[in-house]
Amino acid sequence: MIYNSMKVETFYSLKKLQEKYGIKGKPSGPFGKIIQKLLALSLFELGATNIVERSVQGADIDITLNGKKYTLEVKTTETLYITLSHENVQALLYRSYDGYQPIIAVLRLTVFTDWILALIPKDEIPTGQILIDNLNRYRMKDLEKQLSPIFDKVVIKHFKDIFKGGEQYLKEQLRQAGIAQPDS
Amino acid sequence: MILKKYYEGETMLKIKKLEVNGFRGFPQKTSIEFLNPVTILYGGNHQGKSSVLNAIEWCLYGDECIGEKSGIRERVGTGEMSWRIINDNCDTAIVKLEIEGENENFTIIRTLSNGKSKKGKTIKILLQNGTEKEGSEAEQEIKKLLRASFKDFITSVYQHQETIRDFVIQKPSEQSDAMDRLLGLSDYRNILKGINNSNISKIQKFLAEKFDRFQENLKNALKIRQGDLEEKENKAIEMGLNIDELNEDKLLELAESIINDINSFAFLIGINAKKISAPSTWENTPSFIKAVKDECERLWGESPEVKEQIEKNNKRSKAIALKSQYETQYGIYTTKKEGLQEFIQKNGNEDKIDYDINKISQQIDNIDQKIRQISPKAKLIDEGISILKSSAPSEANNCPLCGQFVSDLLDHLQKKLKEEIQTQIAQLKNEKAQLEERKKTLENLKEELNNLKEETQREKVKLDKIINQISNFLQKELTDRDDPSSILQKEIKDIDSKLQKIENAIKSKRDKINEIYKNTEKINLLYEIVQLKVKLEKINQIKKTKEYKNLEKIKDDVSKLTGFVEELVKTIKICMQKEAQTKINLATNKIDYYFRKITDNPAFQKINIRVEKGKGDINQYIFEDQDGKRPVPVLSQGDLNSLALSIFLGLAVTFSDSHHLGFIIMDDPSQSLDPEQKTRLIEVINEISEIKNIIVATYDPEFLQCLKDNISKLKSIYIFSNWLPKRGPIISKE
Repeated sequence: MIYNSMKVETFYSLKKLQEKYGIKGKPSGPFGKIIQKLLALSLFELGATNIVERSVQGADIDITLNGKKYTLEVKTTETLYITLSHENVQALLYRSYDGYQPIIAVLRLTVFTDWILALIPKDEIPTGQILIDNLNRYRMKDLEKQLSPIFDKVVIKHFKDIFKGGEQYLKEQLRQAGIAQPDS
Repeated sequence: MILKKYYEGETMLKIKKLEVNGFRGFPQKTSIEFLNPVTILYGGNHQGKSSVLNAIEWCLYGDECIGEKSGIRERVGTGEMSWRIINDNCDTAIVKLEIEGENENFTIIRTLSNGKSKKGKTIKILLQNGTEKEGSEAEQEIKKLLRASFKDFITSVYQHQETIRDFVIQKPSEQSDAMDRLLGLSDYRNILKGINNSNISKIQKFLAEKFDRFQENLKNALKIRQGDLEEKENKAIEMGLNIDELNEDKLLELAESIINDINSFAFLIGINAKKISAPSTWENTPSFIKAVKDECERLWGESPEVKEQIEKNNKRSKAIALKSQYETQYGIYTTKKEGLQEFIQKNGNEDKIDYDINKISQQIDNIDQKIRQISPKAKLIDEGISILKSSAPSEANNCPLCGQFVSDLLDHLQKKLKEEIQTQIAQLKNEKAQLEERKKTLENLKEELNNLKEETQREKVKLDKIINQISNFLQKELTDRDDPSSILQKEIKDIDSKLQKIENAIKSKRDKINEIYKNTEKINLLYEIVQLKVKLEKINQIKKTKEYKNLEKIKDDVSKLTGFVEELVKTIKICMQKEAQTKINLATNKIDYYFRKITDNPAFQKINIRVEKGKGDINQYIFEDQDGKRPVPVLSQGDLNSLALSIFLGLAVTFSDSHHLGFIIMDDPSQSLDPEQKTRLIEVINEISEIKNIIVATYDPEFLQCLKDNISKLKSIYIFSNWLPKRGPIISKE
């Protein structure tokens, strides 16, 4: 192998996707959805099952991993902060009735980008503008470590086709992987 | 029932006597006795009343009642701004408090010195059995006997002026703060304030921003390299590589292909190829490229057709050079030759010039001869005339022709003769000069002719030399009839024809070697791309450094700390709220009772207090009447004061079983009360004095009169007046 990791390549690939699909000031735009789907595919590669990816309403992703059920709110940002709306939190809490544990998944688009997967007790989920570092104490570092190289591979593998086909291409990839997309 | 029980319990401690010296407003030793159930301290502002109450507090609790931790605002501050114990005119403050208990009496003596000889604090307790304890032992004993913390003391024993004052201000946040203090929750507030001042969130944000700036710098550095990479990638795509192929795998694949191509080429030209090893990793690419180039050059150079091509090319170059040299020299020689012929045609050849020169020389000689002949003849005639003059001077002037006398005839003849001779000579000399000029011109022409001949000969030699070289080059004897230029032109044409034949023969081989070179260029570009990618990726190694990991750990630790602190804050706020609600719940009936009693306002049949989470989850106290309406915004200052007093008195009575202090201290309780309210307050005080001794300080003469008139218990009244800095107040007892 030439490289130890594909981090920088991943970063620049994502930057190119952002340039093409990102909408300034709208993190939940097409680029945000692309990142969400890339995460869903990465979790699939990681071995997660019963994956549900939602583009419109409710929690962004549901998964079962190592016998545990998680529901994820996915946030992409270039700043030090993310914004969690009341609706975001409500969606996570709603899933908790079905035994899902809430995870805030944050991808900060900068060098050394890594996913932050913060498993937060449901009564401690904050709302409003949140300093990403504040999530550090909830991070699932082992899972992040496993996810990181897989995410790199997934991004590099699909980059060219996403660049051409955008979110639609990823929807098809998710469909082929058997990932449910209720609102597609 | 409760009041009765405490009273009957006879567990209460009561103050018997206070002795102060050097404490705050008392520079001199002063004693006050508290022998009756009610003690009234009366006097104007700054007469020492509050100092008496402060002295009791300080003697019981020492440092606990000083500074921010006391929860009393006026005691916050350090240095010059501090709440000072020792009187400005003294070195030592001494407070002695005699207390009467159920089973025993005891005396507490607390001192504080800042004198030159003696500094520090002392605390001493003298028990009835004669035991004397000091320092921490004394503090322990006091706590045991009082069974009341300082917080209990200010909540339910000592009503400070400022708690009432703040409550009356009516600003909700300050009212809540005052309520917290009335309920003894200052510690919580102080901790929350301390946490807030620690700025942990700001530190976390600062760290995050610093870290972000570091990443931003890194990103900028990467951007430059990424630009180079993209430029090379585009070039590689232009060269026919696919974006997916810009990697080490493709590089190694191309290397293998190049080795195969070299071997095929060597076979084609019939030469053995040297062994070239494929690079084991992308890093060996430069040495591989060099080996490939060297081998290609060697094989190409050793190919027979290529060798012949080189030879023919060299010969062609030589022929072209000789043809050029010949044509140039031939031109020079021809020009010179034509110049010579033109000269001869114009001026004649050498013989003719020589003939003309000789002829002119002869003419010159003849002139010289004539001149020489004229001179002796003239001399002879001159001599003859001279003889005539001397031999016959008288006849000398007679004309020989006519015989007539002519004056100076001989002199005249002599002069005439001389003039004639001179004219003749001058003419001859002039003629001679012209001839000499002509002779000189001819001599110059002759010299010029000789020069032209020599130059023409020199150029002819040079031309012959070149012709000789051409003859050698062509290996053929050339005669004067041959045109070397044409012969060379024909030779060049023959070489070109042969070269074309060779070129046709090696074209396919040239294409093969060019293909190898092109692939070598691709490999080189792939090498540069991979190298750049590796450099970019190496930046990721920063993440694995100890320093980076430490930085991340610090960030994690700060995040954890922030989390703990947030939890702590949340817990403190919950405790604060619960404690407030518990206390209010327990004392609510008493508070309601005292409030309605003091205000006697028919609009209030019931006052309820609820605790809610206010801004920042800090306690917010909601006061409601029997209908759930909130009266606070419309309450008068007197009503608010009554409410504050009711809360204090309600808590004082409700929680009096939690400690042994059998007295209540009230500092200026009548502020903002109307006369009716003052009277009703006294009724309440009278009621409470059944179970507790009351110490009241007031500056209000109306309130004093009411106290005198309406307190049914025995009472002592001390009048404070004429306070002077070096003496203190004059205290008289009524």
